[in-house]
Amino acid sequence: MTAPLSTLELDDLRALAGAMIPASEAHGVPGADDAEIFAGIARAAGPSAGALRRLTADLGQAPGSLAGMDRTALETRLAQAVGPDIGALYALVLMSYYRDDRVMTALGLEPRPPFPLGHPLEDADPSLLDPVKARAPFWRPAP
Amino acid sequence: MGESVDVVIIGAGASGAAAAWSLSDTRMHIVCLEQGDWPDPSRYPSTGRDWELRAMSDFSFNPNQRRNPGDYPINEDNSPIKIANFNGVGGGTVLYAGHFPRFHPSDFRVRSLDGVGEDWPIDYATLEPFYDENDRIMGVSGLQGDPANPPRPERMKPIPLGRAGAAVARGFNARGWHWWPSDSAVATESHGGRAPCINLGHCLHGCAQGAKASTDITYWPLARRAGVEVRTRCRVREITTNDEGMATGVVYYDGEGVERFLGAEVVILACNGIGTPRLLLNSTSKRFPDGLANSSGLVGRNLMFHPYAYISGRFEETLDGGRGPSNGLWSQEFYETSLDRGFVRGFTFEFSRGQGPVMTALSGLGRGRLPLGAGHHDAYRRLHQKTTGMVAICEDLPELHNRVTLDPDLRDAHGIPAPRIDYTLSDNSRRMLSFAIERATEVLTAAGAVEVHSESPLAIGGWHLMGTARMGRDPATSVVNEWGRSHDVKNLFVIDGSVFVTSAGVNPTSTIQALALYVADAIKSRLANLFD
Ligand SMILES: Cc1cc2nc3c(=O)[nH]c(=O)nc-3n(C[C@H](O)[C@H](O)[C@H](O)COP(=O)(O)OP(=O)(O)OC[C@H]3O[C@@H](n4cnc5c(N)ncnc54)[C@H](O)[C@@H]3O)c2cc1C
Ligand code: SF4
Repeated sequence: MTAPLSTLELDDLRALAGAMIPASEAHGVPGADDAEIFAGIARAAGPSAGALRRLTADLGQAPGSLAGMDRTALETRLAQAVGPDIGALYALVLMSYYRDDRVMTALGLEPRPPFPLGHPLEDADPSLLDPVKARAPFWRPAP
Repeated sequence: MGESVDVVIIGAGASGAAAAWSLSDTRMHIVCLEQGDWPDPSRYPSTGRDWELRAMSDFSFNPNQRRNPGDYPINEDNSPIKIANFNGVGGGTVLYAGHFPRFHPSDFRVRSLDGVGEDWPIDYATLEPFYDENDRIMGVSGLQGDPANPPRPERMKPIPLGRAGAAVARGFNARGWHWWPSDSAVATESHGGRAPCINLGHCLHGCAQGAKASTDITYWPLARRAGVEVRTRCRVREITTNDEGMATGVVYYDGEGVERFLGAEVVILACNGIGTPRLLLNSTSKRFPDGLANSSGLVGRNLMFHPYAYISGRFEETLDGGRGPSNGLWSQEFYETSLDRGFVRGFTFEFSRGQGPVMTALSGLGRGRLPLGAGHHDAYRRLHQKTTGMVAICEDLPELHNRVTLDPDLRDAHGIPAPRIDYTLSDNSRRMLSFAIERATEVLTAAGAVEVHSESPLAIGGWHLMGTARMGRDPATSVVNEWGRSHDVKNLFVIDGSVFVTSAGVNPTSTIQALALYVADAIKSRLANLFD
């Protein structure tokens, strides 16, 4: 069992999440470091704790140091990171961010699971098929 | 003496369910042993807000990632294509997309027509009534009159194309190429007590609506009502035999991990193209030292997958996003051999609709289309509900070196040796994939895509598992005969995708099930002298 992330490590993670997806007034969305969204990220972090610990240690000097950095410096560090640990961070943050009610609403999506209401799907213009209907059968006969 | 039945079916997936239903009218005592559980649709990912997360964890289609109690590990390190399956009642149909094409008549005569692979010992006409019967039970939507295929019986109205399907259709029209609303095992109207599709867009991780025809809700309720018993969490370790070389039954572990023996007059294997050779290779004895039914040495060989290419385009217009089944239309313009293309045989294009919000972000990032930091939100909005595309399903030819063996070290939770996959992509497949990507790029560009991306071979796409116990008339070059009975063990049958001689360029499940019904029918019509 990997130990859960410490408070300082969570502070670092939150700073990284905010650098990955900052809030935007123009789009009316919070950043990934928003309290509610980050609470979701922290809850889901368990299985990736090992990777995230390595990553924050790699990118910062000491636990908590990333939290004190400015955005531009954090963005530069993120841009330089490669390997599976950074992949774990991206997956964790994106999965939690893009299911937040405010984010989904801003994207024009209803903040609900697909089931049981489902979604409408348009029928297309049936005449689209006319040129194909005009073709003679062309499957190959077999001996 | 332990417990004994007339027929034991191993595996409750696509083929096991169809055969169980067909055999149930004999009133024989039939038990199906399934290593996984009954799926619970009320717990499918689409019922919760974390649906896209669960699609990558407990509902992932890769068993090595999913690791549910019913799963077994697979060493797939030496394959560029990774296995996708579901181990539970319904088998792969719980997670499949429900594309339901049939083989073409020419697919059964590959050697005669194109000089590659082998001809099947049966033909399209033999299977046609079983295809029709299977369509009726599973419930198929589509449109009659496709010029690329022989006539089909009446089906439910096709899945709506939506905006994304219409865009792709316009692209095919612009090129003057074939496309058609696809046959799909998705109910678009109420069918057999099942509700119609409501476009959840989550077919690949279980259909909570029950519109998609997985066999836990199609064949199994009928078969159970007719008396077939399904025992879940029962993993078969080996098939046992006697001195006469007949199968006597199976040894399995029950839900409590207790080892049990179930005697049977007839043993039917329906464990799919990986599970079936694994079980045969694990069933060794003094008489069958190389595994059961393996005098030809072909058990596990000729593994075929269907190499896939995925080609997607980014559009300026808003499309469907993650709404709606991923299927909807196909193109078989390039299905038959034309040697000027630089390869033999061919492929089907199948429409792949779009993605939900999380997958849009993850794939955008993976493809370098979605920056992090300041530009993130603008870039995301250029992708959101604006991508669609297609996959190319390429015919894979049988090659001896593509195979399933037993891994010397890897074992499942019961200590049973796990399978190992060795697979290389052939030059013919590589050329076919490249050709398909070029043609799909032309279609998407003609449809208005401003950017096209492709992935080939699709690493996650090992969902069609075929060829590892193939059928044929000659015991030296096949594992089962032309009606599914092992050449070596006269009361052992194989009915899953393992028996495929060649793979065709279409999804296999309607053919797997038609074959299962055909073998069951052959058993019923020969009951008096089945073992002669
Ligand atoms: C994500 C995904 C998408 C797909 N999309 C499509 C599609 O659109 N169209 C299409 O035609 N096909 C599709 N497929 C493939 C389709 O699911 C398979 O072709 C079909 O399910 C194979 O049927 P089968 O009977 O051969 O085996 P399966 O359905 O795989 O059933 C085998 C069963 O045997 C059980 N079993 C195995 N070993 C043992 C043992 N030792 N003891 C007890 N039980 C055992 C397994 O648990 C399993 O339930 C898809 C598959 C996946 C995973
Ligand atoms: S899109 Fe239709 S078939 Fe697919 S999961 Fe939703 S309701 Fe089921």
